[in-house]
Amino acid sequence: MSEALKTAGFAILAAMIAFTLRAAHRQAGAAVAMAAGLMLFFFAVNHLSAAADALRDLSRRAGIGEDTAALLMKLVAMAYLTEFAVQACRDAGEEGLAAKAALCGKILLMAQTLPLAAQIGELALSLTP
Amino acid sequence: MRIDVLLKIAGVGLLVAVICQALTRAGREDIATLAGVAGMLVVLLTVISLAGELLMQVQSVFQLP
Repeated sequence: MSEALKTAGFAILAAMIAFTLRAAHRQAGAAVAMAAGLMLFFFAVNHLSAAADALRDLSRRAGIGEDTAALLMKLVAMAYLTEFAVQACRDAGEEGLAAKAALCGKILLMAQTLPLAAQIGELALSLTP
Repeated sequence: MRIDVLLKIAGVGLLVAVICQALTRAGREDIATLAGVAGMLVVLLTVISLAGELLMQVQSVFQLP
């Protein structure tokens, strides 16, 4: 609860600072907004480590292969970073760049998952008589 | 949550804005532009070091090589 309060207060304060500063110096306002976004992501990623540990533990118990679990972690991290980049671009008012970053992230994720999809296909083929 | 970094960036931005205004009023537009660029560089370096820290943190949280 106190964490949520802290996050909300921080975001509102940062928005006020950025808004006030934008009148004097546009780029400085954008920089403050970006730094605030970074801080919020920092805060979230610290709490994400618990979830990552739980996911790793779960996959170990489920008997999923070590490399598959590692790939899953990698994909989640890539999605997280891409999301951050997209939102930073959007903050700076670069809507087109944000869309391109999102597309790039999607393509990279797909390239990482394709070997897994091929494995599923092979498995299905081996099951057919 | 480190509010001091945020305030530092805001302070630098405010200072640069004031310097730019003063230089423009004094009729030194070229130096005002230079001051603006220099201030932006300082702020950008701070933000970029933060971004790098975030990347490292993500790498360590997900235990990526």
